[in-house]
Amino acid sequence: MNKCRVVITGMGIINAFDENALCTTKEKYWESISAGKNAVRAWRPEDTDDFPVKYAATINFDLFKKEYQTSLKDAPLLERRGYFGLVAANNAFKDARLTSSMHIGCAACSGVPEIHESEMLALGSADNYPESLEEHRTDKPSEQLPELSHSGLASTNDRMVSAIAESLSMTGPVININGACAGAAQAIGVAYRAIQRGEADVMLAGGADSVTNTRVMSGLYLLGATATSSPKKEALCCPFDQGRSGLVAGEGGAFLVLESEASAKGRDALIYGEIVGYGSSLDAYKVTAPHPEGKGAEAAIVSALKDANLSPEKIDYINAHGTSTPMNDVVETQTIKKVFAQKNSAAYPLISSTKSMIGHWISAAAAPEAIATVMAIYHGIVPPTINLNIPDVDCDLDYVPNQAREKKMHYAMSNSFGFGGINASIIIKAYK
Amino acid sequence: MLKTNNIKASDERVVVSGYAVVPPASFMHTTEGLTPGFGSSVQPLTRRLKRFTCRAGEHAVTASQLAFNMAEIKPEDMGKRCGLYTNQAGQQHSDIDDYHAGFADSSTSSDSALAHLWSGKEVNPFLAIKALSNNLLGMISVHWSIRGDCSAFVRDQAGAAMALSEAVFNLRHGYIDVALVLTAGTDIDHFEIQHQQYGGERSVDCGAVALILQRENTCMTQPIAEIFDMKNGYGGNSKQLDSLGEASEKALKKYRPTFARIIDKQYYCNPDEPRWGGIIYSLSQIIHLAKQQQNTMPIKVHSHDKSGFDAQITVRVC
Repeated sequence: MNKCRVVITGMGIINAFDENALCTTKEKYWESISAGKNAVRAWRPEDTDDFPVKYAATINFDLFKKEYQTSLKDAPLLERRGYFGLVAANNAFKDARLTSSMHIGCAACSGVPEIHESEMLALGSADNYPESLEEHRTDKPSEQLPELSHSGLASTNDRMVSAIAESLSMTGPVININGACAGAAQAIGVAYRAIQRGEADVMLAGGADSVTNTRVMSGLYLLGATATSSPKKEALCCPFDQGRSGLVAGEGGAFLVLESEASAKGRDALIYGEIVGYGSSLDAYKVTAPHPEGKGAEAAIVSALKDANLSPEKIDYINAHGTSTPMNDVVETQTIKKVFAQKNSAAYPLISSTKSMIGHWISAAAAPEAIATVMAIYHGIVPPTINLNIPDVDCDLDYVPNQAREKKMHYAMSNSFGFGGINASIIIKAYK
Repeated sequence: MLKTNNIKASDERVVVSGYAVVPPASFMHTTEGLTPGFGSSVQPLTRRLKRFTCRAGEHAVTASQLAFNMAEIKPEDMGKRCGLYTNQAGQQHSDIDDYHAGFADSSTSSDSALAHLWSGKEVNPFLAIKALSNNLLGMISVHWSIRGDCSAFVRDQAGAAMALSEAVFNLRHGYIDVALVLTAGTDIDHFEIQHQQYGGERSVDCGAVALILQRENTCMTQPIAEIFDMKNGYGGNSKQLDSLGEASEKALKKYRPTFARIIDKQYYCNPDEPRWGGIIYSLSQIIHLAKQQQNTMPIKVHSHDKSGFDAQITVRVC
């Protein structure tokens, strides 16, 4: 089969930069990313004061609700993450100047649903359990759902993608993918393939996530994945730095419009870049930790290079998974050194972790990172890894510390690795 | 107009070389449905995997074991050449047992029920892992040492159709040589499960279906069925697929809940039950029925769900 070229014609993002004015355009996002701004700030969950995780890159939700009150008034009941996704997808759609009469599909990722205090109380008390839990059943008619209450319906994992499909009158494939922290990369990869095999001309691809609730953050904390309080404060997210201690959560929604080149050219669309390779793999090692030699990550990177028909030295820049966890950053560095083996470190591709600025969006992480990668190629600027002051001795590549760097790029890669041993890599090319 | 992917007879042929269904216990009362897997006892998982696996994990391992046996494939020998495509349903929250014990732990002083999650010593530390919808994918890959291309989808028809679609695409392009396509879960939502668990019921009515797909030229055994064109779309906004016709719809409604039927010389599956199975379940049933009847004509399999996701596949028993 002759695979058609898949280009990027639109991007939409809701992110945590600027606490007092919503950051809702890709231009503002890129301005902050390329300037090395930090979106991480003090955070505490609503339910408790003594929670051990104290920093996150969070969106001012009151401001968000106010800003999108009108456009979300007919939206179905969604979780916080779902609203971010719905707005970001609609922004991407507008950015690409699409019309709903086109044959469009959507591939989105989702993570772990929220659970609210009322539900936990119900679970914690066997006496009143059945009655109090009854309020949250998913099979109740929608008119009976309490408007502001959390519900099973709002938390179903494919709720957001259905809401996006409905809001944009989509008729193409509507895909909900789950790949933990590699989820959005897989959504982009699956959408890319769906266009290649002719199932759709245009696909929105990306995701949204928010783990800034006690339930999910507790789960991550119990796994030992999160950075807790430290003298580093807002600089807690410091990938590849000696002082890194775990991931710092972020939240938001980000979608890219992927389109067949023929369709984009046919409607004279602005083309930001091209997706030329996608690879995914499984560690088959542990559900809770990556392979210590990065075998799965290596397989995904090699598979993406093979798909793009590229030799490793063609890659100019890597947007790393770079989680700021002690293990990931070393394993990722080792894997890059193995695949891109060079005699001197200056010959390796430049690497940066944009998570250092926006935190870890967990299942949706790859979506803002893909946008940053596309914008980096488009503008010829490599975004920095901020908070990188004393590099770990085992992290000895050029991570573009603290300041962006100008560089003309032809090919860039974005890596994502997730719980369950799932790995995915995407290769983006400057469009010519 | 719905587009089809490029799975055509003229291209590299993709075949089914193994299949198995491990149905929910509630299906077992029937005497119908002799699909491989019916009546099989579910294999217990290792203690290590059981700590963080989803509810249908054991069913999924058993179904995939039976399907691999039928295809005469040892997945651990395939490594990166074996792809894994899963569809998981009904697993978004952990079992009550994972954190209920935490409420009884008096060592925490916080008033917040949620605070017990992180401060209670009795809470399962794998809460987040158990709530992931790619849990099945991760667990099965570890169990069978599958390292190739992968995707985990949610849920019912949308997830099942995409899992099948991705497997066929990756086989056709030579990214993998064998694909395990797996759907597993339950139609009961997590609140209902918790309700049942409080009533003392510890087992949840789960099931699993496994299909083994290969390119015909790499298939070491006699292929069971060939897969032709697939259609997959979101029908919530327009009517996408071929209509069943009123008479067939009416006839189909009479046959509940679980098995394939021949109506007006066409094969149909009940589109609603089990929802977690989607088109993967329907396909296994149709293949089994056609094989028993030695019907080698192309058969169109329709499947759709209440959320508006549609899928259609054409298959021919070899």
